[in-house]
Amino acid sequence: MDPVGSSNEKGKAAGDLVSLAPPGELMEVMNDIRNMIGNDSLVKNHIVKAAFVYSMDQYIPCKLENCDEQCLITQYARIGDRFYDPRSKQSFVFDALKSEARDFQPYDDYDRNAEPWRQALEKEYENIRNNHYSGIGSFSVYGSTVEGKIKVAACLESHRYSPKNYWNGRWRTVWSMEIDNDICLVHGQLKVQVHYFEDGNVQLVTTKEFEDKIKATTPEETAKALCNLVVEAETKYQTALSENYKTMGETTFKALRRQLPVTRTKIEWEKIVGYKIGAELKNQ
Amino acid sequence: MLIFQSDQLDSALDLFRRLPPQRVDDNIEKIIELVPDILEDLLAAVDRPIQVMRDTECGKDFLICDYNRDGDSYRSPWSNKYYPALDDGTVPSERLRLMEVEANSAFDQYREMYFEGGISSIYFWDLDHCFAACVLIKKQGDGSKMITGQWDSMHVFEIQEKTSGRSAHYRLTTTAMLWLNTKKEKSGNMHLGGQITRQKEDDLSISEVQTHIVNMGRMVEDMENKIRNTMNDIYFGKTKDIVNGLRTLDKQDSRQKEMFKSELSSALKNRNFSKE
Repeated sequence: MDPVGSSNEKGKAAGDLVSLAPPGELMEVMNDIRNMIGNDSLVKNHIVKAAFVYSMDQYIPCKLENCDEQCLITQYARIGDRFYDPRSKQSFVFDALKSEARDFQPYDDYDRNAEPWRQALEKEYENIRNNHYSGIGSFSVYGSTVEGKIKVAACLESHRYSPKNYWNGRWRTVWSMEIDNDICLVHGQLKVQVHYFEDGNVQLVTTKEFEDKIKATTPEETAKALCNLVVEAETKYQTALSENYKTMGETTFKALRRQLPVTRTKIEWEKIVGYKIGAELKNQ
Repeated sequence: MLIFQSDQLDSALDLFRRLPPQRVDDNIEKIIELVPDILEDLLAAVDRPIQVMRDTECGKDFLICDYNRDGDSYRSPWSNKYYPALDDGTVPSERLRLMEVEANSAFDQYREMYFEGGISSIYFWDLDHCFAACVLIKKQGDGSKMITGQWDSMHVFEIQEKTSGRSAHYRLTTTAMLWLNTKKEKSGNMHLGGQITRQKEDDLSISEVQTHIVNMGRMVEDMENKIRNTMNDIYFGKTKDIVNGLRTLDKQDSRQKEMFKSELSSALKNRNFSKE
């Protein structure tokens, strides 16, 4: 087989595996893959690329210079080889292998048409973070104009990593609104992943999409209306997940395997194993 | 070279402890693309949901795994025949086959009492100076309340009879898998699944009444009861608590926590000052 072609196939497989890393375990997954492939630089390139895509997909939070708030690595933040932070208006190079930003520069090329709407939502979104993701959540709000319509998207990431206790988890959401005259089309996507790995590997993977409409008024009022919608939808979703947990545990799981037989006593194995064959075996 | 390959296998197995277990077959394919040489070892070591085959002679389904496989064929515990047909397929010694028949009938009753349905298959095979057995159980849920569920358990025994003939050493490795899926308007797609592995060793006496099958039965029953409790805690307690730690449902609650935190930190500060 052509060595380049085969390295490409391998690279694709390696990249697919990287993209599946559970929250907080990108390094470990990349190390495992590196140990398996040895010194194949083409495949290594694929792994680095996949780590970038992974970071954007997972909304990896990143510390910046002269800025208290972390910014998220997302598809919206990408400008060529660099990323930008809409809040502090600086661009940077992101090292996906270390999850670190460097080479900071002022960023002035943002969409001024969308900026009032973006800023209004950023300000309002702080309440969501402080009320529901306090101490663990980071968010970034982006503005753009697409075919004359203003689009604003808020990405939020909340994680807890506790590998010493054998678990990691991440919650991420994106809520976007597109302003079409006096109507504002809302789209939301919510994803949760939890990994529990003490003597095993148990994972929760969820996704949910939302579609809605609100009235577009001033940037401030519209941002408030969107945030009300977001809080209500996310709270309903979280409650629905808890209800599923209850039904799964109390109904589905019980129907799969009983805790004890109907007799409420453990099995008398001597009675269900035939004496005759037992005796035969002993005499052999 | 050998060491290198076992390193690769270790890394591959570490990946399986991390990547979503829901996609285990996809992941095996991708890892094989990277390191084709470890295919056999990987298939033997990675736990996957148990597959079902049909024994057309007995008209009964049976479960398949690496331990009843010969080439591309699998041996049925009911007819002792391979599917697809294999003329010279490995079969257990006469003594083990007798035990196998008895074990299948005993665990059929066990399965009916605990699972009220499903399929079980037990396989025995000879080893140098000892023997081994594998107990497989699979049960699928009825999909009520829009939730599908599946249980797979796999118990592998290595059994060493003592020279006295009155007792034996049992080494049991159990992997239990539980899969739950739902797709609903309110909660979207929710997949909760994976596996837990536990080991246990025991020396147990053998007599006319207390046969290997009785000992294995008790060990499997105890192990499954324990693992079921662990699963209940991890699936419906632990992972739920982790989700609810990622977002605070009630905003009042988070404000109270913040207040408590700032009170606590100022109290700590005051204490530090008073120490100085």
